[in-house]
Amino acid sequence: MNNLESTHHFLIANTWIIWIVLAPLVGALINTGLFFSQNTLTQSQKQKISAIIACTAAGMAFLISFFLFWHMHSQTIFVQTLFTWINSSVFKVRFALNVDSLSSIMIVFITFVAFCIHVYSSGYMDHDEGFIRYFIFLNLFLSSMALLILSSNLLLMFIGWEGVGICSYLLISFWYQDPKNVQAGEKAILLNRIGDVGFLLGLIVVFSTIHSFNFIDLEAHRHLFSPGLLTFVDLCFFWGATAKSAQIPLYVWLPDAMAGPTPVSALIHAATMVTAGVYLLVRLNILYFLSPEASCVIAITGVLTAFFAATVATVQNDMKKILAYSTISQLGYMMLAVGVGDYASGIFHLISHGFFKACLFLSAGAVMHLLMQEQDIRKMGGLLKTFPLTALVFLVSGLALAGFPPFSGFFSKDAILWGAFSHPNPLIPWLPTALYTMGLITAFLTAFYISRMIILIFWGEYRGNALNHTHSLPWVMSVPMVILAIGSLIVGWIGIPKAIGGKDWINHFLHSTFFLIPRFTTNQDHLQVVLMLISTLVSASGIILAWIRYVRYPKTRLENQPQGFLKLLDHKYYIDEFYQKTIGRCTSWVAGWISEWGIENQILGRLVDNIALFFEKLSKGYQKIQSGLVRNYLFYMILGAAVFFIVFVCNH
Amino acid sequence: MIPVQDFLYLAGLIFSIGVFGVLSRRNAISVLMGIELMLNAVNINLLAFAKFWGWTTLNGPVFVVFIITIAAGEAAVALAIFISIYRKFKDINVDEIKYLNH
Amino acid sequence: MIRYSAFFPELVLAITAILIIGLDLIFKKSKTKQSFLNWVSFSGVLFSIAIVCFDGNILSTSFHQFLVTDPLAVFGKIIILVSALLTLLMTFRYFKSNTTEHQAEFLVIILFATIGASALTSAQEIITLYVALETLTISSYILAAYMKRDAGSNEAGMKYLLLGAFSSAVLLFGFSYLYGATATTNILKMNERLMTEPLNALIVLGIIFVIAGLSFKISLAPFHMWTPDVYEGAPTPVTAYLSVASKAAGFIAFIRIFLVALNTPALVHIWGGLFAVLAALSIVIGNLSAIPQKNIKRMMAYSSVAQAGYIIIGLLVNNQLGLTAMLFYLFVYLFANMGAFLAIVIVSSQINSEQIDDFSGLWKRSPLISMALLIFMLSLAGVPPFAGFTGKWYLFGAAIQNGYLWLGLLGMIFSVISLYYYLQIVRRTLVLDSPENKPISISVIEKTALIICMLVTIVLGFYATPLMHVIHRTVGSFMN
Repeated sequence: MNNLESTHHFLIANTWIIWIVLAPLVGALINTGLFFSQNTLTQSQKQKISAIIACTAAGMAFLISFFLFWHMHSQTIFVQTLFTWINSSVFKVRFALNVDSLSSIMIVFITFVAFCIHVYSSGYMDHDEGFIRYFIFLNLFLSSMALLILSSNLLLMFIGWEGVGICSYLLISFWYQDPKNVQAGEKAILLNRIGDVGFLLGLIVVFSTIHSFNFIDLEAHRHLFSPGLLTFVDLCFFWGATAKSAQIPLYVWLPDAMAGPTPVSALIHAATMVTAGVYLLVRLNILYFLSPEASCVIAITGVLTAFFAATVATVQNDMKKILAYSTISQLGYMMLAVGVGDYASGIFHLISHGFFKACLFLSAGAVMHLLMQEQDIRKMGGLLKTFPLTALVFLVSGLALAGFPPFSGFFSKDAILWGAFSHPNPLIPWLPTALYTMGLITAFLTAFYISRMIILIFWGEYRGNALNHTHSLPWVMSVPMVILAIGSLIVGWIGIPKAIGGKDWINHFLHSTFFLIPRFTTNQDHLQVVLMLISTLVSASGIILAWIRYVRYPKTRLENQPQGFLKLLDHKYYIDEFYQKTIGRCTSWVAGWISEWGIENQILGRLVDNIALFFEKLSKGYQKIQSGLVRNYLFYMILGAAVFFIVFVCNH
Repeated sequence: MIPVQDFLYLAGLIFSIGVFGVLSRRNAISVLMGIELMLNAVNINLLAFAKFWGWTTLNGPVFVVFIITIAAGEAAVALAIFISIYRKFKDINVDEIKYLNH
Repeated sequence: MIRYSAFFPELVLAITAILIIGLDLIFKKSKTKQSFLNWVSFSGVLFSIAIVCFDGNILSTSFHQFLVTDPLAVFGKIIILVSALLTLLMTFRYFKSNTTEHQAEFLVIILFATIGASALTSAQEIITLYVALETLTISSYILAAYMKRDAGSNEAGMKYLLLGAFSSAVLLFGFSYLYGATATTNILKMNERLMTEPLNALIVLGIIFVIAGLSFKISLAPFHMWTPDVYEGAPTPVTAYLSVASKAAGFIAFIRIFLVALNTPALVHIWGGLFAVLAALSIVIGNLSAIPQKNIKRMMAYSSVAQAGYIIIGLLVNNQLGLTAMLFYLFVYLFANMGAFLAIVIVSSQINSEQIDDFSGLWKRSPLISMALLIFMLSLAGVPPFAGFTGKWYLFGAAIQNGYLWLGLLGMIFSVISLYYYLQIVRRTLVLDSPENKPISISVIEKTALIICMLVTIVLGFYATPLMHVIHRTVGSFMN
């Protein structure tokens, strides 16, 4: 390409970046107008128009992203500065968007999946009275997510971060008639706010150290952080990420978030929003690279989350709950990759997971759509013959999740496992082996629970009573499913490792973003090949075990009450109950001196409920001081002044 | 010649008596009287200081005139509100009037 | 020669007020008369705003420098006059459902209160400051007790009066000591004297009394106890006025006294720490007490205590960044809080209730108002991208930059907690359902005002450069 042409593209690319954020926003605004407008259109006409607007908006965002991605070369960075957002004598924050290799691949992936799910939703949400409202929220979400990905500084990213949180809240409690859904939404937003404290804390420390929020300045001035401070900052941002990306100990909101419509679960709570935490850490890669302590914490948290969530997923019976725990588990893998310093593999798995998990959710949604919203896999079975297309799509994406070659999950998960195994740990020498082993066990569990799910849904005989043959899947639902299934098959091929003759394209592509981190090389290609074979065997054995357990002895396995360890799993390790008991006990002990008040006020779910209750009791106690008596008020005013005076006299 | 400290002690005493009255009295009018005492303590202070500075600055005495005027206005408004309260509650005991907050 | 230019905005208000009294006497009682008087008061305030805006660039003084119109005064006057304008708008709506035979006087007293608040911003003398402050507060006592058939209003008026008069006496006692130590009542001269004066008991006592007296006016804990009772009992437009105009005037008085008169290194050491404690107490008590409230006005009262705690952070750091943050937040707070109260007045006067529970299902009855409440509440809670976030960011950033890390963190944590009770309103208006479906009516001018408040709240969240420009100039002229 000659110089002039590249300049030309550069200019075009620059001015178009903002439209990735604006297109969905404009879509949402038009739909809001449509929502409030009182004209002669019938409801179904309105729905059609709003679906077309929303899908066009998402499609435009995708096309622009793709254009940017196409013109992305290894060293290109497109920057669009719109205006100075905050301008004070001490600091200046620009409203600037930034496309480098990392954000370009993220944005193209996100807008593509979002476009597919927008199209799918127009079929899935048909006949829902909140149809237009749904598309407004979905478009708003996409806009915030794009802002999060493209922002060139931490503060702007925080806006996107909060925006996706609010949209997620609105969509989880979308069917507000059921108070349970509202509760789930509030649990999500409040746990996310707990995480936000960490994010804000990190922001402040970063700012007071380098006096800027820009990612570029962060890289340039990284030496200003002392090692202790760096670990602190890293852990603050990780704290924020544990809430958004559902890691131990703040993951409890994600299973409840499945209360929202299924396409929302696919888009927000599987493919995109929950990966924002991982994206944040990868964005700040240099800060994590320089702090082995923080990285260790992340790797251990990640692998533990992956393992525990996978064990819980093996005994759940609710289709969406299994997928939710599976998402938590896979996010744990991504965190593991970040923790061991293999950032490219983390992003690789993020993308391949986005495809196959979205596809799994969509096909689960299709099953629900056809079975009158049935979610219990014990009441399914034998659906292979009834819904062959859905079954095929489910199978492809399931195999990708199970990590079976040559599906995408195999390559990305293996990249993480190899990264965990091969990166030496400066603090704990035996850690790589431990991480690898745990990762491998999790891979086995993953293969097991997804096979169990597929077998129970599609094999054997039908055990429910909701089968309705008159339904058929509209093309707007089946086409996105098929496209995503194809994606689940082939997306992994962008990262076929060199050890088996691939090009490892994604590692090369992302290298320009991670240029500060020395390239990690080993010459143990044969070892890598051996490990790949091992993971293939592990994956296969998980599938085989599920086959033996659920195809050969199906009946008894389903009807037995879970005993012993399985009971523990069935109750999700009693984590919710644990939070309720411990925090509940503490708070009731602290607030015990106040009379029993507000026990019936069950506005929020379990954990959050207790925190809120604590503050409510505290404030109720304070209400006793606020007696309504003028003389008491006067007394407290004088007391206040007197205390100040005494404190002053004591100080001087 | 009386030293300025003596005036200040007097003002302090009157101010404290006013505060005590405000805190101990239940009748709203008595509370208001306590407040008036506090204001008069301020006036004594201002005049004492003006004297201390040898009447070179007359801002203090001017301030006193303003305080007296405004205190009168305040008392007028206060009495009007108390009358309205009395009509409504048949009482101007500040401890009894606490319908808000419950 | 007396130049009146610094007093023009107040003069216009006074003339309008007297005009309304006259017209009220001349004409017979009728509906047309009332709406005519409404418009007279409205245009009087608008005219006053115009004068401030066009004449504000000139530094002018009047009454031998007892009043000075500098950029800070102009900034304060704009906030106060705009909130007075919105208060008048709420009054028109309020009297449609709560009738009293003395509507014209209500307008007049609002105008008198505004004269006081407006003069307070340009007070360069402690005497002027006191007179203006009393003009504001005595008018407010009457306004709070205005609905004389309503027990709550009576009680609010009495409590406000007794506590307010008491705090004024305390404030004056502090002033008298400061006068004794410096032999002047001029704020600038006081600063000069204090620079050379060694620290003595008189000054310290004076400062503590002044803090106790003035903190009452902006309801900083522990001097906030009157706030919930008065806010709940007073007519809603008055509550709105007290929470914004009266507070803004109080903050400007704080700036004049503490950042000018008492701004010497030794004294900053004293009051800086005290204000940090006051701010922390207000943030904690205000936010926690707001949680269990059932009455929306009472909740907003506690919320305003917490907001005062946030704003005072800008004062205690005592530098340009802090003052910038403070003025920015005041401006943002004006629109978010006034907008919220406007929405509350419109709704509560039609559903005849101030209980938060009765706001359920509002989105069906009036989408615009529920959207507006969503935006204002999120802005008050400091959720990006609304202006409240940027404002809080400045304030906490200023605190942390100046070694008050704990205060910044406390503010952030309690902002998170505050989301809980702000969301309660959003939850009821947007998410819950109600059996009632009757639409809430809203006049064109109310709609316009709501939309303007919303736009300002949103736009300032993204693009505050022009406003920051003005604030920089204000701060620059003030602190070098």
